[in-house]
Amino acid sequence: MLLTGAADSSHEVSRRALRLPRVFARPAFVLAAALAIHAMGRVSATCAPSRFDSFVYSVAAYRFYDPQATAADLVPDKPAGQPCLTGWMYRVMPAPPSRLTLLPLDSAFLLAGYALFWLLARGLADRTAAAAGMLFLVLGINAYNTLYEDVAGLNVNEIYLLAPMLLAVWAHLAVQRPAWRGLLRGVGLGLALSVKQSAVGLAVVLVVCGLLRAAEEGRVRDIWRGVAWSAFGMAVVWVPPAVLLYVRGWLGPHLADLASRSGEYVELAWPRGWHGYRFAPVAATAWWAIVGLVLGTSCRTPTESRGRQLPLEHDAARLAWLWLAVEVTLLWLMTRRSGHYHQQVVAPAALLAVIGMARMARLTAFMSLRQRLRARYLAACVTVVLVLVALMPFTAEIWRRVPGFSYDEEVRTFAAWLADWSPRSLAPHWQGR
Amino acid sequence: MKERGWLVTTVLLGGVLAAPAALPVAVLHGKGEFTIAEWLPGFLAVWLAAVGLFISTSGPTWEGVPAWCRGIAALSLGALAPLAAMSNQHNTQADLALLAMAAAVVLHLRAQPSRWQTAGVLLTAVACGLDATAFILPLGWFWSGLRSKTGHAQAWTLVFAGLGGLVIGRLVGLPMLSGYRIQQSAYAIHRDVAVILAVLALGLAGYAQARFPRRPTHPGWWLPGWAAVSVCVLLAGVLGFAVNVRLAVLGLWWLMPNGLAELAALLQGRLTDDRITRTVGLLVALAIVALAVPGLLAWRGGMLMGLYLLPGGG
Repeated sequence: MLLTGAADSSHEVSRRALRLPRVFARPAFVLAAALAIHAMGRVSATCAPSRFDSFVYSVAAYRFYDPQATAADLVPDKPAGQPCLTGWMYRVMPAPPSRLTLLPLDSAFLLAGYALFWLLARGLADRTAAAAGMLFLVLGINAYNTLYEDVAGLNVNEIYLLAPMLLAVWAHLAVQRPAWRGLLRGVGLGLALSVKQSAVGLAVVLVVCGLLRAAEEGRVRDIWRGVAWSAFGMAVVWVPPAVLLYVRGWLGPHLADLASRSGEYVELAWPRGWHGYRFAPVAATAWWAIVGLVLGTSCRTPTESRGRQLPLEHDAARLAWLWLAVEVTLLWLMTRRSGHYHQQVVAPAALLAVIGMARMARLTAFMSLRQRLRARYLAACVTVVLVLVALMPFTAEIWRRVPGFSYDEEVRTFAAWLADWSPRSLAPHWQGR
Repeated sequence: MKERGWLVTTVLLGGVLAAPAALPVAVLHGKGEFTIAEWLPGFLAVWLAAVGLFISTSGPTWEGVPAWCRGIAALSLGALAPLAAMSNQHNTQADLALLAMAAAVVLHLRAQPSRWQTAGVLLTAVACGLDATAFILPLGWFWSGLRSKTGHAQAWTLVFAGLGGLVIGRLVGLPMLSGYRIQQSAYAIHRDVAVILAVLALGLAGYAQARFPRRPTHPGWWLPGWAAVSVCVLLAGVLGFAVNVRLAVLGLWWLMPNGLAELAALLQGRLTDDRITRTVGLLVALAIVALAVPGLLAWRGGMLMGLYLLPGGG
């Protein structure tokens, strides 16, 4: 019988049912689920059959702190931030060098990213929505490496981008004191830009959103203060590696390489090669983002009807939509179609999903109990199935990849790369691809 | 359209939808050639199962659920069930397992206790013998029986019947599962799961919001246990374990009418919160339509194959 039946017992059922999603928001459940997906993702990324990019950045990291290395050992088309951040692991880890040496650091950066996202989401929504959003993020980030075989997901730039980008966004949205906000935003952006140039998209978004907020609040002088503190934060991050590069005589050649090669995979042309299935890992996330957008534009709570807005949600939604638009545009313009590029879409989409869930919770609170139950349960069922869509390639690929992995083979291959290969040889290889 | 109208529609349209849907797997097993012997069991099995679903969903668990919801659920079974078994190696065995399981469910729901204790239990054993995934039905009974004070005897009877069927099936030389090679099965299982995503969403919604009779004397008291075990088995399929997706999802197909009725109630809206409920309902409905796309495309493939196979179609 449906809940339209006998009122007395159905109310009891309704109340119990409404409590059910909170079970899944318990910290222990969220932590266990996030760690399980993360562990599966890292195992899958490590065992991926195509490991070219993963080896490139690992070998570059190994050589960064090698006294015998030269400027030619830097990856020519990427800033030196990633080898600088990760290369020290090879000097402190006792095991034979391999890509796996970097696995703890790779994981730590991702875990820091999840934690920052949790902080950000909790500022915007209740625990249930924040937990769901964080799980969407973890699933999206980890599922992309299993969607394609062209690039492994271990130790690629996007892994190290997540935490600094979210630090910058969190600081921009949630930190109240202008100095700290500017400083932390600068540190996050500086770190992200030192890993990959594509973080410039977020930098532009933060500048635009900062200007809009200052204009709305009538505090134009704060703009300069914010810019100054952000610049200082970036300098804090950039100066040590820049000094290190200068002392070793690598700064000039590396900057010349970067200047000549940056943007070589971006082409101002009409978007092409757009395949919907590439967004399977963010299916649930995208649906909630659309829910948030539609509900945000078409429905108002009584409080909002009287002109009161939630400033943080308003700012966050604007920032996240702009950020998503920039990332999708960059993705469209890329001349290469590697699966891990899509990871940069996940964080803004997950943020929008949290905003969508928060909005849904707020609006359904004004419904009758039965309709609230219906709305929330139907939405939850759709979400579960969309999450399954993301999980399917993930689990299938793990079954295929793990049996073919050998640690000894990994160490031997790494030694062969160290003996035979230099990042300089990237240029002809990539031109040939 | 009332009950009788929907029954006639289900009988007629169910056959029309099931006929092309059963084609791809039949042609696949015929190594590219269409043979009536490969196609007919699948077609008849899902057609009868679809009609059985409509007839059997008129009990107290579906009280207040409009006939159109039950009709659509039955028609979707006819159109999609054959396509959710594309990777089965033993086509006819899988079809017979579906038919036996659906018939057992119909008997458990519709017949008097004295009757199902023979026919229903026997059919459950046959289904388990033909495909081990059918054991989710006795397991579901057992799960519900554990939560009931008086339903233990029925639950144990069905569990032993299922185990007996499993053993006899092995003794006569039938494979444990009617489908999938264990190695490299994950992608094949996922292809089958993709076909029934919308059913999964609506079945889950029906399960979450339907109120089940608790007393063992009441037909359908075991449905929540069956649905819960079905969800667990489907999850195992998503994780890559070889299960017969079509049999695993059957329990949710029986709850799909409740999910559809819930969605309809949301779309209709109520007095003060019309705009919000309708907007949420519309968003959910759009998501369900999007989830149905893989199944619709698969059915379209079967229909195109049917047009090609018609005289003069090639």
